Amino acid sequence: MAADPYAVLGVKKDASQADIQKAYRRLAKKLHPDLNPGDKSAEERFKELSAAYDLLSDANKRAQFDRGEIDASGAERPTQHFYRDFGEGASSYANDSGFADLEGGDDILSRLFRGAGRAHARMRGADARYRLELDFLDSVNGGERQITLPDGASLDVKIPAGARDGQILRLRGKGGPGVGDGPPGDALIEIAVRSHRLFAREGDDIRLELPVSLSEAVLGAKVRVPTPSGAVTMTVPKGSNTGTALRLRGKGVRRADGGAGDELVTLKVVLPEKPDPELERFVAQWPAAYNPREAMEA
Amino acid sequence: MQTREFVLQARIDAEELDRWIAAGWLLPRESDAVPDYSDVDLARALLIRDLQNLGVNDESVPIVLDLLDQLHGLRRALRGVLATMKAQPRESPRL
Repeated sequence: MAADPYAVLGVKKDASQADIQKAYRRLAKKLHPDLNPGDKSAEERFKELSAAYDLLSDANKRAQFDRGEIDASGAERPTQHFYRDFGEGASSYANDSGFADLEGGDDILSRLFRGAGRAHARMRGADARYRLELDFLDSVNGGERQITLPDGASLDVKIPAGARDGQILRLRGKGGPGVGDGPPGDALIEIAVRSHRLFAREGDDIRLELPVSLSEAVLGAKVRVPTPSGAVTMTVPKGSNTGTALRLRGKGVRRADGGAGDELVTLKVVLPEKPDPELERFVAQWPAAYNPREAMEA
Repeated sequence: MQTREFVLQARIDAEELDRWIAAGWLLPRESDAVPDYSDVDLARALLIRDLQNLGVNDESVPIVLDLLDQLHGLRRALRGVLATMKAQPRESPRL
């Protein structure tokens, strides 16, 4: 230690003993490692400060130093362990009473706060979180899936019919192992549902847009309609139009109560992709003066 | 360590040490009815001495010690919470 003790304390050479003590107290309050447990840099500066104070607070030593008989290194302290180095350990002085009011039953904080007894702690294992992507139809119809966990273990997951995107399945006891004789945690599996080419989900209902030909729309017809549980036959009534909505009762998503939503089929009248000369001839003969934009013009 | 070595290292005299123990500031373990001081006791004694140098009087020393012990307890608990949080996977693994 080479620093000038007067400079360390920030006092003049002719400062009185009282001034030196005052300066020491002012700085020590800021720098004492035990009063500033989070500040690692404070320790070196405090040691320097203590050494300077040891030297200057002793009138004899100070006089010797002033005469140049000893240098500042004479006051160096042996390596000191500060109390904060032990304070966080489970020492006999450990005191957790300051936050007894934070404890609420068997929650994670109360277990942590039980400080010294931690070695014998009985702690529930951590929950393991996973994300499982499902095809649209699997999510609607439900089923079983065997999944392989990152650690190689496999897990049978029962997917309830009508599982929703973002829904979390909890598998009790399939998470991390408990500490001591604590129970294991749960596996939490978040469901992600991929979208479907044809179907869209709206609550418990399924929406589908169904293309129909001009003749099917005008004359009515029986057509096959896909539903999540397989194709069914549906009657397109005579005189249907684009936008006509038909309801297939019970063909939607099954509910936990045994009921089910509906499939809502919206018709879309589609003309042939290639121009059809026969259709053109036929329509040219159609004399009706129907103007679908009448309402717009008014 | 024994009392002799302890007072030397802590740079206090034996009567002062007796006073601190009687006041409950230091709680050395006993082996065969003789106090056996640990490094924690030494660090605590040095802290008490520093507090006295700072002008903390005898009535205030136990208050400061108690608050510091609570602070350390909280820091330990917080460290535990942070370690637990850090151990959580950042994102749920995909299956």
